Amino acid sequence: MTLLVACDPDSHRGLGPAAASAAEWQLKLDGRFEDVSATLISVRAWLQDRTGGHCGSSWEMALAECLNNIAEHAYSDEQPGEIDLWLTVRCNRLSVIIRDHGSPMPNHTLPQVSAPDVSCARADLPEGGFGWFLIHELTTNLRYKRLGSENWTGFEVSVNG
Amino acid sequence: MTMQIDCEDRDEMRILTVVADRIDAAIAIQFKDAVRAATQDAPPRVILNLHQVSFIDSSGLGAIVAGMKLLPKGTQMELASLNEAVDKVFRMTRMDSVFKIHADAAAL
Repeated sequence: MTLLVACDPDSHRGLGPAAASAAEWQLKLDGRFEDVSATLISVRAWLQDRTGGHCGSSWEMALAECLNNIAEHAYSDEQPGEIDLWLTVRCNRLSVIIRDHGSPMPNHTLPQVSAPDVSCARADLPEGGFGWFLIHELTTNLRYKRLGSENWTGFEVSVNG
Repeated sequence: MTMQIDCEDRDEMRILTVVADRIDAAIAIQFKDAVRAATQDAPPRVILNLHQVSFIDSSGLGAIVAGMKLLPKGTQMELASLNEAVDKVFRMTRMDSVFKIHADAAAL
């Protein structure tokens, strides 16, 4: 007898409640920088446990940039809010889904950025604008969707360095 | 939230040891202020010792760049003891071409 298991092979690639429901671990945090830091520390402990201590730093850089972006741009000091985070480790990759209730991305799409220019004079060196560049470099399957009043962001990132 | 930076003057260097595990968005402003306060009368070389820092994000990177830009004219900022994660941020953004990087602060 063949047992057929109905499943959506792309559910982990999607965005929205169905994709999120398949996740291993769900967290909630306030959309403020201090809470982002505390959450990353917790996630690091969880990942070190899941990967035998060899999770690398790429996942933390990508997740930090995405969460800080939500804290700074989707929310604000005047209008803070909550962030929901769903995490799954599969095949040396961390799958991340993020939901917030803040302002939408401009044009409801992900920003496209190029590498910052560091060839200029010292006084002109950029102090920002690295975040989205790093996210694009470090992640695969980076995606964003506006659903009603919610922002959904997802990506995958190596937990092997 | 405060950022502690220990200072040591030696030869023509000032070594600033960052006493923090993270330089990130939550502490970037305090970090910038602490570096500025510690470098107003700096000698020609300021070395940022990041031995204790396990993580920086783009805000932390930006704060380090800002700190460098505020140095007195003629003072250079160098970095020491970057761990793998911190080094990666500098390499990916090509900021490793902007700062002289020492592998080990203890060998300075």
